Amino acid sequence: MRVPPGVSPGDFAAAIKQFEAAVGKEWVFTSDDDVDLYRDSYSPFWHEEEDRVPSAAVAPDGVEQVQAVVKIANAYKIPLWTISTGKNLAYGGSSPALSGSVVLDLKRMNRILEVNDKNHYALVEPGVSYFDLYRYIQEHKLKVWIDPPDPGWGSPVGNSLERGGGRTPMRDHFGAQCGMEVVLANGEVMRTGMGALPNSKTWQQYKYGFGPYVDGMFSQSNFGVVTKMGIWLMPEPEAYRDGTVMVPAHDDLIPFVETLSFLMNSNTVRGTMLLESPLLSYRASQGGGFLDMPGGPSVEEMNRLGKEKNLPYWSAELHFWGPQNVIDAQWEHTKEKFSAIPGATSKDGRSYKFPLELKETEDAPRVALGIPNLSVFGLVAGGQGHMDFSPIIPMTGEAVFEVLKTYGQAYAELGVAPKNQFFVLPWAFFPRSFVLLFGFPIEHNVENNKKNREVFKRLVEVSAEHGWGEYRTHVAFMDTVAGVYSYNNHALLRLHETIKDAVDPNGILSPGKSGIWPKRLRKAKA
Amino acid sequence: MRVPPGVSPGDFAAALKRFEEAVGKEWVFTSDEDIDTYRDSYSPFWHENEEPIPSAAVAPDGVEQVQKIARIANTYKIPLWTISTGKNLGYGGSAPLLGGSVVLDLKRMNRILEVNDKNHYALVEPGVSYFDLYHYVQEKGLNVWIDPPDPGWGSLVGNALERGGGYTPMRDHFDAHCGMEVVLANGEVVRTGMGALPNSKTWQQYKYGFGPYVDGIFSQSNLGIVTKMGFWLYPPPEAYLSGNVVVSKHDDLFALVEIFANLMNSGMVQATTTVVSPLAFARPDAELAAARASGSTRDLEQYAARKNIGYWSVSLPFYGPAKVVAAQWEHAKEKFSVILGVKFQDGASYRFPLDADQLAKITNPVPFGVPSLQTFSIGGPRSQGHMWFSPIIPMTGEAVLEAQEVFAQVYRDLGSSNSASAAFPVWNFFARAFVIIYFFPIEHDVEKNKRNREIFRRLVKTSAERGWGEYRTHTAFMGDIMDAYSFNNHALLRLHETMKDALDPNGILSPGKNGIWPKGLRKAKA
Repeated sequence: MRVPPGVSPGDFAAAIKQFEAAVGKEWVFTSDDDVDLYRDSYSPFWHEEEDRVPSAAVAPDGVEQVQAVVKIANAYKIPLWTISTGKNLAYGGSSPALSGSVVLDLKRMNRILEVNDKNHYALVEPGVSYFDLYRYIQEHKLKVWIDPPDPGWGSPVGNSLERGGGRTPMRDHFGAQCGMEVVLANGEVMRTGMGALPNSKTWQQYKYGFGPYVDGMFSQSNFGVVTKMGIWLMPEPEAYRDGTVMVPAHDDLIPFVETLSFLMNSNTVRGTMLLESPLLSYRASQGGGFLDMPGGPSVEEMNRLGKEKNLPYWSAELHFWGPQNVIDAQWEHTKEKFSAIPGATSKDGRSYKFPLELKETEDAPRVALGIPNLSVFGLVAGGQGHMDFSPIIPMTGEAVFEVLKTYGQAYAELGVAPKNQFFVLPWAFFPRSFVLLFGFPIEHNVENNKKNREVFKRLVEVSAEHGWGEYRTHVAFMDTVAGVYSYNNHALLRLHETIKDAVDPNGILSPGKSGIWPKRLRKAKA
Repeated sequence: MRVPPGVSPGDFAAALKRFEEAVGKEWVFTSDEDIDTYRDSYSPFWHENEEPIPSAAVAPDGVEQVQKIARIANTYKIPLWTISTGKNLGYGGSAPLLGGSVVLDLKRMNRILEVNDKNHYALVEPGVSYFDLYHYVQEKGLNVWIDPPDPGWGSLVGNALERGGGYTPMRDHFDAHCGMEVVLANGEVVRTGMGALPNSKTWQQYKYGFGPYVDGIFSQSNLGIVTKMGFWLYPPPEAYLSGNVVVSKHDDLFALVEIFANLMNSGMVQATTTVVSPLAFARPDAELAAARASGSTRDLEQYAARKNIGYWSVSLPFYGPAKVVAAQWEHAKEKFSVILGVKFQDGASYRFPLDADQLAKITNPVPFGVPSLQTFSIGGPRSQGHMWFSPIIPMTGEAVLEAQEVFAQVYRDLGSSNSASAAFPVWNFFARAFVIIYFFPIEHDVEKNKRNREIFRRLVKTSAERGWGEYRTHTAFMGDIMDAYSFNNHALLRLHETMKDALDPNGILSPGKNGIWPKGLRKAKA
């Protein structure tokens, strides 16, 4: 049996026994077969010593059991790694940052406590998946939509806490959360926002409550165990439509993104969009890459190729949800705005009225219509996994050009071949900025993974040099990413550490999460 | 000379001397005349001993000076009460909660560091007022709107930290902030969100950064001194349109609010408005007085019908492209037309930008992003001040009726004549909930103020019994309000206190703010 670092086998055995007493023997897992299920199936350390492996897992069924587990962990200084449904694939799955941690698996806490379709919110436990919530709403015929992320088997609580994104106007999942219940490291239950008021009537309707608004502290963090969370939902819209806008030449990107930014910041265009390049996609299909590699084709050559093949240099599919007359007017206005760019064209896309017939959902952009599914895994079919490199960049054409050049240069220096340059153009998952999502391949090949880890670290560094930072990362790179958020000698991390020491003096909650280590495991900062 | 509690006159003199060295002799204020300007001109303790009066004020001109002051205050354990522009009238003005505190006045830090009209944001210091920013935007001809609260002389930073609200789609001021610079009690400078990345390119474009999102802990709080803050701005809309919806029956309120919530939560209506009862505001003639006295809803409805006065109404503000706002109003009318006898009135309609003549004709320009001081006419020319009672209630007709009834009863119980239910207007300053903004007169009359304080406390208590809590309050009532947020033996307040002790062990920052006291001044909880 594995033992958490710094814990004696005797103490660990005693703790396990107490965990069993708290949650039932069948909900404490220590056999290799069971514990292996909590390893990261997309681990970048496949077949390597550094692979993060838990020592055990414990699955409570309710807040009192979570409190009991936390109190036991404090008594024996057992590191707990909290997961909701453990589907954080590409960012670490269900595996801990610190090998030997005990996974605190909240999957059994899967109660949907309330869904309100007059004020449009839900209150759920961490083990509830997007599928669970979707089915519940369908069964009860409630007039609300959920906003699933691409794979729908994960937890709304977990995804919001990791600050993930979806596709509809409610796409900023942390932004859509309202009210939490948290078990602190000392085992105390706390409610945030209006939930601090006993029998509150607005726990899911007003976020801030009175006094310091602490909810954000519990996101991407190890300051507490969130046991309930409120989520704002979108009223079922009357209709959906999408349409594509396109511009012909390289430099058109500047006014193109400026127009997008204006429309998004005005709330005329809502939801998530992806910047695309039919021309660069064509080049990639011919064995080239998306990035500007030294010695690659010039802008003039690419512009010429675009003209020759009749391919727009840049395009974006935009999405509209709402009453039919309103979304028609929004699309009209959008086309008008883009028509100020010479050569801009547009094309109408799909159109739906809700509720949909089952048959209609087959070809529909289901995630954008609030229907969870797992089809995203089709993207990576045949692969052995992936992890995401995801820096935030400004929502400007200039920034996109700088990105293409910067990462092209970095790949050239690292000798990464075009076909391995896992790169897509930026997304607007969050308001007001772009995020890049590079899908890095994970393989069951130690050498390839080592090389990829080197590339990953270099990209983090190069990004930081340009003022770009990651919004989220795989557990393997949390220290690396936290390390570049170093303003004033890591002042923010030191603030996190001060809070960590105050609220979790024994350092039992998710050590190493987002680069925050408890005192006893903290390394001196460079 | 007044001296802060627990500080010896010698230590205080030494501290003042060092403050003078840090900021210049002319920026440390100790004379009674100077100190008097920091008293709350709307104090509910007018002519009473309980009025908290500062001992001195110090006005730094930059973050380094703020750091020095924090360090000096730590050495001598001087309580500092931070204000931005000190215009928090109705909630305490510039006066501290703890008499004898030294006001840390940030008015000199009034630099507008950046306004970007491509990605629509500003970065400002705490001393920048809404007027300052408005003038700057006008002078430079930038394409952005600001979102002022009712009186425009206050600070963007201060208002957002107090979680105030405005009128345009950017009305939730805390939510519209993006990125902070904070001086901690130990004098260290921290930047939050993407600002933790040196030379970040997205400090004002992406809120969360990496790891715990801490910004909220610096709102309504005493855990740090915010010295810079980013704000998202609204791209100037093409048009504005308002439409009034009027219903004739008492029970129509249920459908009215339900449809309103649907429109708000769908993003069709994005700005601040109020649900009112024109009938309750009607000047009472003999007939109306009789109908009111009879307490019969039917009589009131009949009176309203005869006089063609609405029982309830809501005015809907729409901002955006002309064709979109027209479509939104059309859609809203369709939705509300399920209410029998509903009437619609087209309201104001504008195309932007407004020229000076058009602007001059608008009584209240605040909803069009133009700061004003017109709101001070609210109490009438002889007003001696006011404070606000502002509970959050659910966005339902049921809750509105319950609140009117319950609060009117408090007045009746206390023998006050001011019990017309219309006196409790409900607003949607924030998404998804209503807030009542109830006007309390302040007078230079000890007995009347005592009485009003009694009523205020009774309203707080009654609200809490109903599950409603205040979003913000006057310094005089911060302890009362925080006490009501008592879930699990004040677990949230105890978390605040744990953080306070860790981040500000000497308790120098704004003692008592939002009910959070440093260890030495903490009372045992009931």
